[in-house]
Amino acid sequence: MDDFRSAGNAVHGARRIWVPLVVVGVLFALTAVEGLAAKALPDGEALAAGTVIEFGSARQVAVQVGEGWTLDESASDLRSRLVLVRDDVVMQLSVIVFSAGRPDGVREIWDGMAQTMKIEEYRGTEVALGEPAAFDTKWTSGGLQGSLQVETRVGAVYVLPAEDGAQAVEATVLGPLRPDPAVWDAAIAVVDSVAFAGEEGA
Amino acid sequence: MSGAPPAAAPRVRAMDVRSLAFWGVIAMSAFGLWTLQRNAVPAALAFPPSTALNLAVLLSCLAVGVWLARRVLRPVQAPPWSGTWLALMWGGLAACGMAILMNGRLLSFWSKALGLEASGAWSAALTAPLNEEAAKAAGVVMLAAVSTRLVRSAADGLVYGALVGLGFQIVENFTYGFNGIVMAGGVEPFAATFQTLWARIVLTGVGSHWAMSAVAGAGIGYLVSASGRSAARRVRVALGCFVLAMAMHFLFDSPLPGGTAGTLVKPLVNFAAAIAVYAVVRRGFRARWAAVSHEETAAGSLTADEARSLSRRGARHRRLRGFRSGPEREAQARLQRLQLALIEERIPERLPAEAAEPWRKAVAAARPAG
Repeated sequence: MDDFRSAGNAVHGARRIWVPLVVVGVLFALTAVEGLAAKALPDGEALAAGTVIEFGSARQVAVQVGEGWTLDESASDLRSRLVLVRDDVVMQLSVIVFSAGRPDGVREIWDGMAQTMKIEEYRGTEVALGEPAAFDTKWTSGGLQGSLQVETRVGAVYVLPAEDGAQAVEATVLGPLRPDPAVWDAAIAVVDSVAFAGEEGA
Repeated sequence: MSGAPPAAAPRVRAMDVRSLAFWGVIAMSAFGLWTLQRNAVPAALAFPPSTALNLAVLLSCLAVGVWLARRVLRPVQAPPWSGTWLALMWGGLAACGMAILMNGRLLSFWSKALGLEASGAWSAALTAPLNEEAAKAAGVVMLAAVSTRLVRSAADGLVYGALVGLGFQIVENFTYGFNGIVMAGGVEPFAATFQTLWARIVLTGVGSHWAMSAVAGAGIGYLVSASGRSAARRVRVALGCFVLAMAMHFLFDSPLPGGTAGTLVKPLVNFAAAIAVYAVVRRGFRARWAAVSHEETAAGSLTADEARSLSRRGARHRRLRGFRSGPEREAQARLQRLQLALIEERIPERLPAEAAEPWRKAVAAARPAG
């Protein structure tokens, strides 16, 4: 097979037209196939009432989920983040590990979270974060909570620091303007169940 | 003033800006830039000190990486700057942008298909080797289609693959510098970016994207070069190199072996694999160079002294320093450049020796009288 002639490179003549087309086509085809494969599977897994999920890089945080919640598997990552959905309320729980430097109190954690929300603002999303107020749960103390509005969705955000100051859980709950109060109460119950390993309840 | 008339060197361009592949690289890079900026620009605006650190560190790494790739990875002489920039642009923008798009979809698939426990551990190792290696290797194929002169040997493929991987690595590190801030909850953002860059450059950078893509690129260079080997063999070698690059990536992202030792050892294994491929490619290139050099010495295009000094950068410089600075040295430098071009022209084995006749004539015309 003389596929070089005088070029010294096999991609010559008509191949210089169809080879780049095939290369780009293969990349987009791969993207499409992967997208279709992901869409072919159900988005989430309905959780039984009382399910306890452990997450974080060392599964160091536990949360108990009540009835009616679905775990959004494509948006969740057990190493760092859980996304739970019930009706039109979406709750995200994120484990934050302060490996680069410990915060000087829970207010610094709150300010850091507020600064990361600015990323969304610079992206053009309307974000309004309220002033923080003290918030304790069954298993954590010294936390903060505040109101949160992202575009037309309203809700609250919670910062729950671990006792050792080396990590925290940030929880956001967002829903429509007038959510079902029962769903809202269920979301608060999930936040209330967050516990760090080594603490009572974990 | 020099009395030597300018030699009639054949005018060849390493890059054909009228080619479809050239505009394909530009269009895909623009698409990648658009994809990347949607996340990177808001993060950069939200954390300006981290952005400054990210830019300062990564631009320094880019400068050092480009210098090393051009100086070390291509035997005899560096690849043309036009190919260098195209390779970096494809890796940093087109491949990185496509990888973000593809990875999001495949990671979602693994989360659903494997469950969160298994996907948390293995999804990166099952996703990146396929998507990212394909996106990066595509860049070397595109370069081969931009011009028939850019990729003409496995050595060309290796250095362009390394440059594509370097561009990818730099831009990926830039985005990870911001991801580190988000993972740390926005607390101590400067330190979080520094920590991320330290881990990704100092601890694991030696065996990351540049090494994997260099291996895949060497295979593509071998596939498209007129090396005189059968098409079946060239396809086998190219596939073998691509699978090796994917295996290196799988190892890099795999949770096994874990711990600090695993994190440190895996990049070293990849580095060793890339160096092994480089050694084989370099030996083949130098053997071909020596054969052509011998033939051209016999044909009178090179003297034995010139042939000995031509294949090494240091020897070329030393030889030039043996001439008085000024017109005499300039004439010798010009002769040396034409001789390099002549030998490079003959590196593809399937090209007939007579095809290089215009270069021989240019060398003869450039040789100073006496």
